[in-house]
Amino acid sequence: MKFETSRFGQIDVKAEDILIFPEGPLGFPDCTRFTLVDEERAAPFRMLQSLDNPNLAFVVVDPLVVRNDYHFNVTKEDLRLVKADGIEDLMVYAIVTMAAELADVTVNLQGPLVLNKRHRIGHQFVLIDSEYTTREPLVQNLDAGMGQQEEIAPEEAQKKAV
Amino acid sequence: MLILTRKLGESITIGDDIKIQVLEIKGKQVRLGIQAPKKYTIHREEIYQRIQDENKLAAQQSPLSLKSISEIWKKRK
Repeated sequence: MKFETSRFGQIDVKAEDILIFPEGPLGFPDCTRFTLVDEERAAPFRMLQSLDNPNLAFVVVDPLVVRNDYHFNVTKEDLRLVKADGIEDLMVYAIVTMAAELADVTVNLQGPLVLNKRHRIGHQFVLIDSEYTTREPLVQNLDAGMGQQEEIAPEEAQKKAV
Repeated sequence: MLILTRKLGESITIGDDIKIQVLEIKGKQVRLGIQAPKKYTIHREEIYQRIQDENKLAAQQSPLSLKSISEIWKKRK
């Protein structure tokens, strides 16, 4: 099926690559069909392109890439939301909020997108009483020694102190 | 908006299957107990709102391209 997108022009999406978010991501109830698009040299970041609104695309990333201990609890009711039998069916993405500077790029770890890989149904979870926020800095615990990162680090520290 | 006054321990019901009870009042804080079928997701409004706001922000295109962010990200590792 062909879809118009503002970022990628017309794209041809196979039926099995269409992801359905029955309720849409929060704030976008009318955008229920998405597909993942990989841009050249953009890994591990991917684009979650809406097939209902050509202008809507989210940058997403595997949250484990950002925090290797990322975790949250999933109830049976949660599994039912995406028609999954168990957590092995699930795939999780976090939405990235881009910014002009890398130091300001954040990842929404409190509202993960949970996908059922087999049935391609998705739902944005809301983690209550979570240790994660909607605005976790993408770059954390910067290694010393790289010029660019040293510039970023003090800003990061300040943000945390606030 | 329907406005009802309730005392400590009193409840309101919505439809046949939702019950909201005032469990505790402490200064400006009110603790509510909510009984509802599992099909309803219940959120503290501010968390819900925050995620919605963040989605809208994330949906805007940004000056930093995916490619450049990915390159800086990989260099970091």
